[in-house]
Amino acid sequence: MKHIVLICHKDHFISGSVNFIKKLFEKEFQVDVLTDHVSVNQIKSLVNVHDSSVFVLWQMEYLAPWLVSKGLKVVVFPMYDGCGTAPNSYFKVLDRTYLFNFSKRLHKKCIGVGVTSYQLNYYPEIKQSNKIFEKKEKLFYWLRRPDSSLAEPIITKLFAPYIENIHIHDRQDAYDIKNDVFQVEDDFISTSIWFDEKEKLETLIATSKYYLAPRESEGIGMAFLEAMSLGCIVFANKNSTHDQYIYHGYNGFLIDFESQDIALIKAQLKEAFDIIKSGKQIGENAKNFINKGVPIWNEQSKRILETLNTISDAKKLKRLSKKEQLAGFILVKLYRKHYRLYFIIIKIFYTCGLFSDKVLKFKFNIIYRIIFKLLKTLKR
Amino acid sequence: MNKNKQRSFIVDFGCCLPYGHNLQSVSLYKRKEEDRGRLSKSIVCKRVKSFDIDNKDDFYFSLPTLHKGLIIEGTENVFLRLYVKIIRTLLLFPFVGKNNLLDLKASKSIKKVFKIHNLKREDILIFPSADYYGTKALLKNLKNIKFEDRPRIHLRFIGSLESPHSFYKNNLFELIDLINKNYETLTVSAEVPIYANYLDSIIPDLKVIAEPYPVEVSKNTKNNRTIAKQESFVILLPGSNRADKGYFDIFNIAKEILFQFPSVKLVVQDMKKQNEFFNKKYRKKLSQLVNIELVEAVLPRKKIEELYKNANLILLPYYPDVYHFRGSGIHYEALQNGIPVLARKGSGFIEEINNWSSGWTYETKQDLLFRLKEIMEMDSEVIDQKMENSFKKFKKSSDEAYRFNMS
Repeated sequence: MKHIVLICHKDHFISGSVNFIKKLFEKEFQVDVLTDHVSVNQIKSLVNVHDSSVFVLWQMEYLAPWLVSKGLKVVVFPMYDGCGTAPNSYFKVLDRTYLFNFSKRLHKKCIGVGVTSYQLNYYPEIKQSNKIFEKKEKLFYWLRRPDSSLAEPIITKLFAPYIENIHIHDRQDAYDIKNDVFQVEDDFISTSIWFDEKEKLETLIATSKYYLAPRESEGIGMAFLEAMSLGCIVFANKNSTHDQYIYHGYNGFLIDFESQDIALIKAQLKEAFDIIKSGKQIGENAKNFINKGVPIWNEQSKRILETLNTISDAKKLKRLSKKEQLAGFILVKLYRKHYRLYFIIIKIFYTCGLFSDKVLKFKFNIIYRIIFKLLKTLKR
Repeated sequence: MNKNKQRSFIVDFGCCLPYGHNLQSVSLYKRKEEDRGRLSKSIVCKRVKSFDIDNKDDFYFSLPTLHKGLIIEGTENVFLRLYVKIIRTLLLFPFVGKNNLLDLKASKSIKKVFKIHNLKREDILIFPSADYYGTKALLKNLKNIKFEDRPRIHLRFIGSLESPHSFYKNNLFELIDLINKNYETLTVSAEVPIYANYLDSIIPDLKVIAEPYPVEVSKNTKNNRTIAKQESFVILLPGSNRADKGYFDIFNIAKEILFQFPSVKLVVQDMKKQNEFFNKKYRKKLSQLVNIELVEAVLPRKKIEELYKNANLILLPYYPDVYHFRGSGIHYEALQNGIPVLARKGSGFIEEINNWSSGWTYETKQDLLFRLKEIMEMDSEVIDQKMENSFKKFKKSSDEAYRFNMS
């Protein structure tokens, strides 16, 4: 059977957010999952054993230059919330990989730097989406990042005038509950931490009329997309991937939470609730929008599999130069130490012609240009 | 040569390589003239003599190789290329009056052609790919020949050899000026309609029409095309690749195609190593893409025929700014092999594609993918029929142009 090595973050594995893609691969491939907590040496030995397998990097694109230099077939799924602000050189070195983007913004960024990517749109198929739930004037708020603009006290204060209840699902990202914001339940606030059965969580969301997208930006945005499919009115920060699916005032609301301008946010929320009160079927529109999108995702997932099959069937690739292999290894080590330094070094490597098609040629006019620039600067 | 028969001489100063469309067009014109019952002889560069080519006896190898680019393209020998570069640059200096030494060489060889073959009024001199040096030398030499003794001359401009060097500009006007002064015994044509229209507007005394390649009657669309029934859809990018042929766009195009149509395969003919834009890294990247099969830059005719047999579509991502006035030999070959083409808008041969319905055009990558989807969904019999009709139109157009220019 064809083989895939799926490398992802440990959190993806625990939260199960990688499961949908793993299940998709398992339809036609044998999949081994590896998390970023394993050492570089372990990855190295794996590379030697599975040198003809397809390596899928799930938000682990920093490994790509190294794996490509080793002559492996590499498929990359970068996430906007992980590398949305990364410099161009970060994406340029991914040119030899096969790039899939769930975020339209990231896709555009890749295209902008000359790297071809395939844009995906994820539409979840929820079993419960066909059931009819009685919606309460309740906001479902998944507290993931208490240190962001979507912190619990601000949200509670902002939404209080419009809703009867707020349910805080206190399951923060990385499960590192340093900032304990756990609220004492009262008539207005109800809380939860964990549901053993996903259905219970879905029912809770489905019975809430409003849903707040928990992060400022998303890689895919599975949680808010699921809420949309359950007919919730979603409020989300105006950023990727929210702005990819939500059409403000039609199937949800895009609010400038990240601006932290309380007056502006208040005004936007007021406007949003005025639209809701006018009787516009925002939740219904959201549900229909997602349901209509499900065939698109099914088609795209088929294409992912077909592409991976083509990649897997291809002949073994040749390794890049020793220089590039070493540079790739250095980059991996660097990223694990300090990712900002990684960005700087990758730019230097790229400028020097590593992981690119650039052929460095010394030209005399370079000296002329440098002198000219120097004189210009001095003149200023 | 039989003295009772009228003679045709096919001359090409650009024919200095044992492959490519110059050599092919010389052969085609020779055959076409023989079909008209004339005695014909092809005169090409001396350099070709050292190569193994078909029907070698049909050629006179007497012309010097003057176009630097063609020599450099044709040799892998670094020292020879360097030598050519240096010598060629030195020869370009105007030592003698207005002419440089390359002009003198061309003039000398044209005079030689006239003298050896004793050209008369009944003879025809055909330049199927009119070039700067040859055309200039020929037209200048006409002054020395009495009007009543001048042979008929047919110049076919192809839009690529009219300038001797990239840093010379507007050389075409130098030739046009000479044509306008000696138009009486001349006929002029261009490979593509847009170029023909342009030349027609600047040569008031002659009617310039588009003249595609003469059609090879031995070939037809059906015998090649229907054989190929392979599992996956194959897109062919034939012809030794160059930057202006969109070589450096192929990687991204292929990737887009992979994501949209994972089973589609692209067969790409490589760029020659001696090409000034050859990039080893890019070549490696291209060869490692899973849906690309990279084949040698120079292939024997048999292999090329094989590629055509297995292809469902020919992709021509040529740069419109370079190919604005230029035709494509590949397009003619595609027509003769019954394969539709998909070409980038703006090139000179787009009008031919539209006139003969020999394929489709695209503007952007999205457009390309959209067209590709359409083509892949088409029934193969419909495409076969379409190509058969295209071939008929191509042949009709080619024959009419030939008749017009040679009658």
